[in-house]
Amino acid sequence: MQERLKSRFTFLSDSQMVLLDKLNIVHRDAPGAAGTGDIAFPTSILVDGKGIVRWTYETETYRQRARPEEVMAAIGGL
Amino acid sequence: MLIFLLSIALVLGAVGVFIGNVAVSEQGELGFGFQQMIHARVPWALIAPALAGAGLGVYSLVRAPRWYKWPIVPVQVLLAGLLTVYFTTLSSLPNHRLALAVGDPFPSYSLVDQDGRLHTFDSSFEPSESSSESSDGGRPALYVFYRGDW
Repeated sequence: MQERLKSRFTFLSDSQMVLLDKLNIVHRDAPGAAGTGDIAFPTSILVDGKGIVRWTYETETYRQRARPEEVMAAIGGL
Repeated sequence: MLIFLLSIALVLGAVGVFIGNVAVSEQGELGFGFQQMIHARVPWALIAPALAGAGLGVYSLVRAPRWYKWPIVPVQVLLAGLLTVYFTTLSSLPNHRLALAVGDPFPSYSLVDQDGRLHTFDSSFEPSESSSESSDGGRPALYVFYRGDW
């Protein structure tokens, strides 16, 4: 995935859905090309250097994602 | 006749932008109208032309009924309706609520990255004991949860 997106970000795998469960963002039985399965709700969370949540993004449709400008503004506000 | 052609262009244009975006998103390329589709709760810039086209088609049929309009207008109404239902209803996610809010501590985790390295984050900020682990604490971080594909 890192190669496909040509990204230098770290990709963490939560295949057991431990963190997703803690955050309550598991989309149970989500329909997909390969049948139904449990995946994550599209969510973004900005955490500061002390481990405190400073900004969150949630959505009502699987089409939507956070705008880059929104994310940069939140980071600039740290 | 002009109105009827315009109605076809509007519906086909909206459906074309929609299909074009779905098709190119598989290759990672962004198409015209993509911003609307991923950032607007309801992308009216795509839906409105389709609905306007279907409306004009019906208007044209009522005002000047011609044989060739009968098979086309129902298809226009169907396509505009499908687009509207998809964007307003079918693409919605079930109700859910993030378990934390701004000001809360991010939960501890211990997860493996793309190279098999273990990453830990401790809410209490105790230094990680194993040298093979990398601690994600101490610096700001943006967590983006993917759905496995994008």
